[in-house]
Amino acid sequence: MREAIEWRLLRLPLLTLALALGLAGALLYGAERYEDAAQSEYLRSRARLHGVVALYRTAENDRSLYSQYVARFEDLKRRGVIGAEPRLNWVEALEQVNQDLRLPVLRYEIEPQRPLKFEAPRFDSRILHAFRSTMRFEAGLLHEGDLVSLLDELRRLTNGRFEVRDCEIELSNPARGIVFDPRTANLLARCALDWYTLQIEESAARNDQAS
Amino acid sequence: MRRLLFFTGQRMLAYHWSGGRFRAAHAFDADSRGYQDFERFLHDSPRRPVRLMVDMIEEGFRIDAMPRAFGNDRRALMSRLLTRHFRTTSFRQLTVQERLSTGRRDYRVLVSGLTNPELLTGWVDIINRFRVPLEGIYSLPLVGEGLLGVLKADKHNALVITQQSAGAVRQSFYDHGRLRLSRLVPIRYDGDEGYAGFVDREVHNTLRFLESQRLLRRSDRMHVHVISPAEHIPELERHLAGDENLHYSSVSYPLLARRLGIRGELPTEFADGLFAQVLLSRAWPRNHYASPPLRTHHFHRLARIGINVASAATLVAALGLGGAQLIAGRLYESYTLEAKVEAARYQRSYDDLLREISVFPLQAAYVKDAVDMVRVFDSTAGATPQRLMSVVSDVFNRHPNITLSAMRWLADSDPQALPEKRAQARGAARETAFVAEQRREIATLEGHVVGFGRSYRGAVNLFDQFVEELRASGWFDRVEVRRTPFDIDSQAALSGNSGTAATGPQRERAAYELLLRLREGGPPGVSG
Repeated sequence: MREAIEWRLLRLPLLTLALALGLAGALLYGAERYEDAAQSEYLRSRARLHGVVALYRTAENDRSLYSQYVARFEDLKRRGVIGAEPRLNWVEALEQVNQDLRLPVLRYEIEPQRPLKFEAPRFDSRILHAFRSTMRFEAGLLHEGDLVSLLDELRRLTNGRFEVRDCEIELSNPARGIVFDPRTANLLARCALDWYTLQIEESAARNDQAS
Repeated sequence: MRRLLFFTGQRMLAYHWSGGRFRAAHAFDADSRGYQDFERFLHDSPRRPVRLMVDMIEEGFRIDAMPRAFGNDRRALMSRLLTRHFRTTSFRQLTVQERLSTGRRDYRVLVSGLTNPELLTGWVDIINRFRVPLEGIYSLPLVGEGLLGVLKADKHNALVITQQSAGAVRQSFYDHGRLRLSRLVPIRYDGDEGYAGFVDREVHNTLRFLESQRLLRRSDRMHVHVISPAEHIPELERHLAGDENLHYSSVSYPLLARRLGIRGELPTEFADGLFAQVLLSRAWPRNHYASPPLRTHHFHRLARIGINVASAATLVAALGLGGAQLIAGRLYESYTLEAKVEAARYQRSYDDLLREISVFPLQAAYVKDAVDMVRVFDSTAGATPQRLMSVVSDVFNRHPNITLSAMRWLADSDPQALPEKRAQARGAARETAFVAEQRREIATLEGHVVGFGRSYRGAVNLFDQFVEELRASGWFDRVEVRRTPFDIDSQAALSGNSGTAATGPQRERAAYELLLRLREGGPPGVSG
């Protein structure tokens, strides 16, 4: 059909179409803006919810950790395993042990403290610092049981953490043989003990939520 | 409601039709009064579109052939055919029917036209003047192709006889459902012949004409369908007898009307209502004779409808989409509220927890790590010489001839460590790494075999028994003899003094040295 279009016959429908398009456009635009705004607000709220939930879970986990570990931690602090090295306690313990055992000879020396590299990657070495101090003692024993008693008593009195590295036990006078005299040492024991202590970089490990 | 105008050449009839039922019918004569009445009719009735069906004597039908072509070539061929057959009228049409089965396989085409257009022009001008949308001008015989189905006449040669006015009978020849020829014949018969005889006579005239036009062969069968008022059927059946190639069947108006779905009465006493039903029942019947300028108001109406539908569809779509977005927005608002309520609940719980844990000055993770580190110390660094001394002393107790003068013991994660090397390392720089592995207890024992008299062999046997028992105890996974009481190895020097003057400890003591390593976990089957 190539006849001329009588636009005046189509004027009203075209106006109606234009109006409909305008209304539709405005409706869609408004609806889209509304949905976008609502969605954005929802996403923000959901992000905030996730954040609060994460904080809560962390705090809950921390509470669980505290309940499991803080009593033990405080105990270790009291015993001098965590914190400043209690050398005086060790020395006093040795003195106390010998008062009980009355060993004829008990000489000791404690080497300077050295930092200890802890080969356990799971611990943060920036926060937790391990130290080792080596104590060497030379003890005159009536019998080898004295050595066992000395080590046991030392451990009991100090509650510290030490490791017996090595010991040499030999007859103090092979030619003489065993003498049953509490003032005479039959055996000579030379042992090395490593005392371990732990310190925490408190400024870095501070609980920021602490009141 | 649809409107049909039916022009017979003398009169214009107007029907209103809705759902198979004919309502008001009007008749207008082809004179000035008729035209005035027609104008009033168009002016008074709503401006609904009309379909104009024609049944005129002055309508010609030609069968021709058209070569296969496309596009402009095809249009040019069609225009040429139309001009060739119906040069003087604009009311003409060309219908492509089927491809011929022989020769070039051209198309068989039916070309038809109104040879006296002036009869119709006046009415069409009135329609246009009143801007009534004219959907099309339709040829009654071509519309009649729609009757063949209900007559069961679309699969063979059929000659359909109908009467749309008092003075003429139309005979339309259909070949397997396609119109080939149609003629309107004035009714002329005398009393002796009767209507049936007239029909029979005209049928034979038509057959001869069809044969002359080579549209039918003498041997072809023809089925004649006479559509007639019910009261004429008995007479027709009585008098119309065919032969082997000619078969008559008479069908009444009411029967055909029922088959076509007409409800109520036919608009006139003639068959035009049947054709009108076929035409009006179709949603988009193909236009035959109305040129585009005559249909301009119809096209504009369609355009208005289309634009209005587009407007409505636009609004509906916008409402749908916009509505969906609004619903989505409301849902988001609802979810937002839920999220906020939930966040507030968690915040309260978090605040309570915070108050509880804020009393601790250090972070929980580091508290745990510190305790765990100490546990590692405890689990790996608890060895003392006690266990090894206890095991060894049991064996010594059963071998009084074996004495111990010195023991060097160490605990190390390296199972190959040696006590003498530890002693040598004393004073040197110590390693500064704590190895979180179980310590192995390793010791060297130095002593003498005594009380063996002068029997070197006895000393060796005593020592061997001692060593064997150490090995058999299961506590050691390494028992190495570093020095035997008498080194009787062929590569070593051996000295002695067995003179009668030789006495003393030299003859009664033989030194030995052993290296022992405690088995991890103790003897098999025995815990720690």
